[in-house]
Amino acid sequence: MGELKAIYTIWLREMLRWRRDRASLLSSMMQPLFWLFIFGVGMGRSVRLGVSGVSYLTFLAPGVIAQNILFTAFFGGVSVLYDLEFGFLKEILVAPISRGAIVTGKVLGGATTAFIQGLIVLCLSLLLGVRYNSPLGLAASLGVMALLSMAFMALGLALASGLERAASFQRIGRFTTMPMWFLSGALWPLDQCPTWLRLLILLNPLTYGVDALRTLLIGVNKINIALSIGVLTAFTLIMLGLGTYLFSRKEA
Amino acid sequence: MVKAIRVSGLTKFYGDLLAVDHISFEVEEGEIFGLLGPNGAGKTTTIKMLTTLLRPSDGTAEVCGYDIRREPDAVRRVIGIVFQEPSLDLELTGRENMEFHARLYDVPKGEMDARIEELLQLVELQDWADRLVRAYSGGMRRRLEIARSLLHHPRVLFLDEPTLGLDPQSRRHVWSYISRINREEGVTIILTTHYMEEADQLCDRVAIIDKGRIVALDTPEKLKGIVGGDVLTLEVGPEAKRLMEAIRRRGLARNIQMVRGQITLMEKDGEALIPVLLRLAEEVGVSVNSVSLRKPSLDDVFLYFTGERIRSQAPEPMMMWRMRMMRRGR
Repeated sequence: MGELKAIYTIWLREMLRWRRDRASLLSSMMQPLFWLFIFGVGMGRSVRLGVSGVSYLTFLAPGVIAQNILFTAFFGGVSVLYDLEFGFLKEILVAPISRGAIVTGKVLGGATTAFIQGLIVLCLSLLLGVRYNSPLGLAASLGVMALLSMAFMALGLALASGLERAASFQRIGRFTTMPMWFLSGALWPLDQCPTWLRLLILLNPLTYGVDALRTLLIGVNKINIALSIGVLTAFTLIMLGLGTYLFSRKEA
Repeated sequence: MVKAIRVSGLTKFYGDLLAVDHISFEVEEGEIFGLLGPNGAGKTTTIKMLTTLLRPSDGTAEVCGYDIRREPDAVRRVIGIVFQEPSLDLELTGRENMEFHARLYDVPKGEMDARIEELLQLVELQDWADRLVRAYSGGMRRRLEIARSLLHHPRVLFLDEPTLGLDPQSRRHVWSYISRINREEGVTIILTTHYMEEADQLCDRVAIIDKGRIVALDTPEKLKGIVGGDVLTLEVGPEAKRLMEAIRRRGLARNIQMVRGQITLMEKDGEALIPVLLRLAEEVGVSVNSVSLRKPSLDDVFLYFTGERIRSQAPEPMMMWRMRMMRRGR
């Protein structure tokens, strides 16, 4: 019971902070809008996919949802380092709660934010005229979005826990998220690229999120969805474990 | 009886650097205990070990009977802490910061709101409770942190430099809260400071700490008693060394120290010594710019034990003569 309350407390704080931070919510909506509206619409005119009956914009939309979740969740991890730099981490570390509860609360907090942002991108794509297959698929895709949010928040938190400064996190973050986004099969179909590139893409956890979302939302599928969900779940658990380990070595 | 704190052989290395060097002391329940020393003496490191934020390299300590190495969770439950640097969430309101703490320490829901209200009143922040901490002044933030640290009824409260960076008025405010908390909540308080007045006014007992070791430990009165009756300070300048040697040769004072051209003597009958010293200065041809006589402070106690000052500025002298030597005269 104490653990759950601790997790809830940590989560609640993230929510209070996020609710106040309207500016960053707005600015984080600009990037997906750019990808969908400018890139999706512009490229859509000149790209003919080997995927039947699906416009480029429709093909792209699940990827942009996943991308927005990736960026929001991953960079949510930096909050640990801001807490460290602003001194608030001491207040958390000295409390009689387990390190696992702190990490879980943080991950749930960042993941909630990322999930909501992903949901907003989903709604934006509907407004832009993207049509998804079925209400059932739409509902199931919410589960995948939640899993993706957890996975990349856990990744960001594990990285942040291994670092000392927010600035180095931002630098490493740019190096990590950009390749993940381009190598996720979000921009072009998996089977239309050379083998070496496909290998890189299959090593990227984001690929499985994009593909699972595509399966559920538009019925286009390259990887078995059970495999995708298995990979994402395993990745999340490993990152949570790693994050907890690295975090518990932190001294404020 | 269980002591509030029992420290034995506590040691911390940072790499090769010995920050805390096998210190041992005990703090009684209900005491206000001070760790006084200059920056870098090892005070904060000691506090961080006692509050389980740092692992000791050697030795250990008990807080309310719980071992800081073996039972860190039990220790965390019985202590409250105000850190040297602020540890508030600036994007939350004062009340939200308090609620966060109350939930983390599992303060019962029914008690939480009343307790928060009571403590906000104690530190006179009730009118600011629902504003973002970002808008608080330094003194208000410190007061909020003190209130927060008491939420879960800690038995021992650690205050690391509680008035660092505060203006004199806020400092006195914080002092009065600390005394009140100690009286009304019956909390044992251990504080670190490099302000002599703070240790002197607030603390029942003071440990003077320098380069990771405790050099003296007693009540402020007794510590000052060690130094002797009066403290005489001569402002001399570059020739101070010559004068000091002359004073030593004559055996005029049992304790004499020199810091940057300033000679400090600690002796029983300071007043009678002034003319003797000035005559001696004339004899050896050293000019004395000023002489001051006062009662000893804890800074003098520190000087007595370490040969250095905690800070170079001397407290208000009881009397002061500005004496220009005649030769320079008008």
